[in-house]
Amino acid sequence: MHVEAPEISDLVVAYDPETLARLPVRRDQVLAELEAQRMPRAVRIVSSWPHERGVLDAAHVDRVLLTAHHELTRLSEEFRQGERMLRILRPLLQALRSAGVRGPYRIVDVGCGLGFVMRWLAAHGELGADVELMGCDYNAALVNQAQALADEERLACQFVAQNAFRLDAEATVFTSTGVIHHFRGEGLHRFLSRQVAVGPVAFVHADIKPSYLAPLGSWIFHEARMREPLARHDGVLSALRAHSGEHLLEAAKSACPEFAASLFDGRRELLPILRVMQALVGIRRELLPEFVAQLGSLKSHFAEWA
Amino acid sequence: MTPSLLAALAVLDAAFAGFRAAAGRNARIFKRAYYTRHMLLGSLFGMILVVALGGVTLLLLAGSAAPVARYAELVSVGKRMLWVFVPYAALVLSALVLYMVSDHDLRAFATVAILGPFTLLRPWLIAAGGAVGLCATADGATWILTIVACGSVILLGRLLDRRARLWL
Repeated sequence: MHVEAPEISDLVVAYDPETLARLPVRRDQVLAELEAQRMPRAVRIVSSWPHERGVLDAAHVDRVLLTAHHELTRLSEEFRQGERMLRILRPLLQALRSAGVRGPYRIVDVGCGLGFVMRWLAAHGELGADVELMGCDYNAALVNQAQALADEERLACQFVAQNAFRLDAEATVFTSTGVIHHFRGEGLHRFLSRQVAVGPVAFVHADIKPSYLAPLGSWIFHEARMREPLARHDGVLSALRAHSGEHLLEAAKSACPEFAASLFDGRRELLPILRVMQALVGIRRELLPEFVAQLGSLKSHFAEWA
Repeated sequence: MTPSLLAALAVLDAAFAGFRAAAGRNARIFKRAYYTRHMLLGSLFGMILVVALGGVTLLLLAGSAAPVARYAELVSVGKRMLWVFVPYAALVLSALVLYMVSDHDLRAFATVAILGPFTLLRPWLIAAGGAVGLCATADGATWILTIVACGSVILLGRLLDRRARLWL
């Protein structure tokens, strides 16, 4: 496996970019791509999936993705993804209020999957009555399940199968967890520039922090915690594909120059097991002084603002 | 003391196996009752296993020509097994306490450095405990009982996982 190798989950689903309608995925094309990338384990996984006349069974793919995302939720709990996001969002929202940015503040989670972070924030965040939580994902099966889970626990958040950058309602803050490594090369630039084009005041994109221990750590955790072969495979690959902090900052600088950007927990450490995640945080330049003032002791977690 | 400690560790291990079997199958946010239920279920299975292994041990002793000597032999094997199991359990329990009471970074340390890797090592550590226990005995019945006990503790984790896959 190498850094630019695709994850299985990137290949086995396809959507019409305009309507988000599910497109058929040809099994032989997926297998050819995986073979070309010399990924025999991934080939074995996809080969075992049902298909009809060479097209992967979409219902089966959704079942696998749902299982994988349930298991991913367990890792999100263990790695306190909700808490990490809350630590950044709390001072950020306070800064918006202090700077006179009018609410309601809509936080939109991009590629939300089962919406763990948004649901956790709805349950524990106490972000205020002027905050709306929303999750977006292309996959309707995941979004429907996320909404069902939120309804079941009466959590005030909404999930939609839509492009997060084409919502009717304006987003104040875009967030994501474990998503941005899926955007490679020019794709990362496009992702960052498209999000700022729709007018948010800030963004927080958390992802695995690359380090010399990350691939081994990721392998241990996915072997120990995950059962679904796709989850194990893609989880390990995610650690290899995670963007370096420098790369994220460079991309943010060129894609959204009107935003000040920095990394939360992005510093390289000798023993990189205390902070296994980092977050690319961007905020409109005019709001940066207020945000920094609200950070308090969290200030030391940020690198310099670019 | 040694049999009680081994039994307690087996029940504790089964409780955690119950937790692991339930984890990753329910994506709700509020899950304390769910996890408690599955840990209790795991403990119950663990107790049943301990009672069954206790019964087998009693049968073994009853059929032995020298039950006192065989019991002493079994206890000495158990003591050596505890050299492996007690440090492992102490480390995992300490990591759990650290995870529950400490700040964000130390929680990450507890889970990344101990809880994750030690879950993966569990079957190997149980096997290692059995091997250490048996290293100084040549008694065939003791070997069989130890291997059955260690194997059934490992298999109980699998059984609970299988049960969860079918029922959750």
